[in-house]
Amino acid sequence: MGRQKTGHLIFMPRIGIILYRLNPSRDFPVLDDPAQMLRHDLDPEFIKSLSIAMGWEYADGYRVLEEDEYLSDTLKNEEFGRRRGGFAIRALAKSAKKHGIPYNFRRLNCNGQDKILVKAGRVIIIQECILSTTDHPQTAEYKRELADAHGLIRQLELELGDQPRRISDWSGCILAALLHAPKGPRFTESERSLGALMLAVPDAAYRNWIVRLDLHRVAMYGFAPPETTHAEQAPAQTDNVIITPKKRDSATGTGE
Amino acid sequence: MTVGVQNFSGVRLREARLARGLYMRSLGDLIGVSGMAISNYESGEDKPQPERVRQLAERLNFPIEFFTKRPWSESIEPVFWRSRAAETKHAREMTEQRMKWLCEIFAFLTEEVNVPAQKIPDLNLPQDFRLITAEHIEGAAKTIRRSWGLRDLPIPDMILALENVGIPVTALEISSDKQDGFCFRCKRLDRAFVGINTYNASACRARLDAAHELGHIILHGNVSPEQERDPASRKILEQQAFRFAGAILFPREAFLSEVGAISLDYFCSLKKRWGMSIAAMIIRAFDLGLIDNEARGNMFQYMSRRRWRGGPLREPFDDLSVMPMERPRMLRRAIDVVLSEGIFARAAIRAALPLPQKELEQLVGVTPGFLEDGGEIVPIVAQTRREKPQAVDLESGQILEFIPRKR
Repeated sequence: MGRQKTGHLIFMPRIGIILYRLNPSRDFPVLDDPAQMLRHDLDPEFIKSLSIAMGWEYADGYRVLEEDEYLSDTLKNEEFGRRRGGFAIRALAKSAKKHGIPYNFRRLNCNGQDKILVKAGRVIIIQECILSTTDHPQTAEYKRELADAHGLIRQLELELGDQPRRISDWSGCILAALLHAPKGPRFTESERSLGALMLAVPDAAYRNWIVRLDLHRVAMYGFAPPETTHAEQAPAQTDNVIITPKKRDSATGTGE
Repeated sequence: MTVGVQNFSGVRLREARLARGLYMRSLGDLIGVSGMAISNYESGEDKPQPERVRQLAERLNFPIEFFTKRPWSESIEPVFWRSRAAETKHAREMTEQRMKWLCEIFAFLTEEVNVPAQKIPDLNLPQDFRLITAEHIEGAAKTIRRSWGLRDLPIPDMILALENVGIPVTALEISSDKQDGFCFRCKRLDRAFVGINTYNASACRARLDAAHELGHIILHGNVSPEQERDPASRKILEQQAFRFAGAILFPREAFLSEVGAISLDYFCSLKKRWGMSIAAMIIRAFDLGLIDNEARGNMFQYMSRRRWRGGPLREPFDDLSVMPMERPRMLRRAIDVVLSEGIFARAAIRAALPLPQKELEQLVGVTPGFLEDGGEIVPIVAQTRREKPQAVDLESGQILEFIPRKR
């Protein structure tokens, strides 16, 4: 006799959504506090790679445009704004590939844009450009549908336009958006560097953020512990002077 | 008829004598032979008897095995010296022997351990150093800072920066205030080495020395030994390396934005943050065209009036308890790994590298007495970085700790 899904609906006032909590004694994945899900399901090394890659994508993006001798600074600034989404997509894909995390590109029917979806455990990550850290979520139909996905245990069938039926199992997942913004408005190296980076979980309606993890520090310093006074502004100087013993071939006694 | 020690190496005798700063006749007097006899020993025309070798070892304070071990076969040049013009040949030769030993130690250790590969960027600078301009140097420093991810911020540890790109650094106490540092490239090991004189030096001075030597490595890869020996060329080489040191330690953009007013007090307030001496900041301001020659001279005069010049460790914050000396780590860690992995015991290291223990310990940067038997065992095999993966939830203010994956 097969197992039956048992559980109960719970209302979380702080989050303002209903979660379907499974019976923990069963083997099914337990829907939990989104922050806890992020904590459990995201590989910190992936987060670190992603955050650091974002910092470099912004810096590289600036450099490429800076070297363009034909565009004015205003046009370069506009072009930078257009390319920002691409920076995040590249950083997401690069980091996901590095850490063996599945990701996919989906084309939207409405405008033909490609969107990246990274599935890190039960967390589906998309990217979103913001202008300031207080920006509310920029609602879109596909985002709303994804955000709503964690409310029910089901096989999602999102209409993303690229295929008639979704084959991935998104059941029990939450949506997280990688929010990113440059430091300032002008086209200078300093102001076009990465100024904000957050991993935010929206509510089911994609109107408010439930959780926003500040990753900017990780982008700048990795997971190194915070320092005080002037050292806070100092760059994280990694210590790469790593000495390891040579592997020996026991048969010949020779090293590598 | 008595027979001399057949595997006695005259080259080793010369190394030991020069390292101790002795003339042949002086050494001969110490052991009761003529200067000519020492000359014959060194050229290999004559071999000393065992008793004589014992005397030589005793007087020069070297292990006897040192004189029978094969010497380092490669002559090292060009060597870039800081303040070379003011230093005597005699004093330079004392240090040159230590460079050869440094190569020997490095070759020995890299037989057993892996060290970071040397990654010195090719900056596409003019082949002829006389064509290198100030703008080339500023650009080179900027590119290197960018490749190191330093942006326009202070370099926390200049020696670490060098060792991170695979340049082994040694800190020596050479009792001469005219030798600040040196660097050379060993062709056999395909590696550049840097030496810093920490005798009477402040942390800022040692940082400047390290940056200066890096400048030689970056800018002067094509300089021939003859060019290095020519006084006029050497002056240009030194000026370029100084300019590079200033640019890498305190980049132009940061200098222009952080130095509000050209004054000694302003430089004093920036000294701890940038790890750069006040005197070096005055020169930097001159290099960047912020002050003219006269103003520079005046500032040095004001420094003298405040008794900030005219001797070692006179500037504010020169006290090593306030600004600690940066220490090299590559060779020390290699020794740690060799010991903790049980590859060699201390006695075996001393036997393989039969140098005076004090010299050996100083060259690899361990504490005095470390290589004696019964010294402390180093528990850590390789450096491990302990980071706490966490991020702040901006909504609740709580710190969220990620769970590291077991790999």
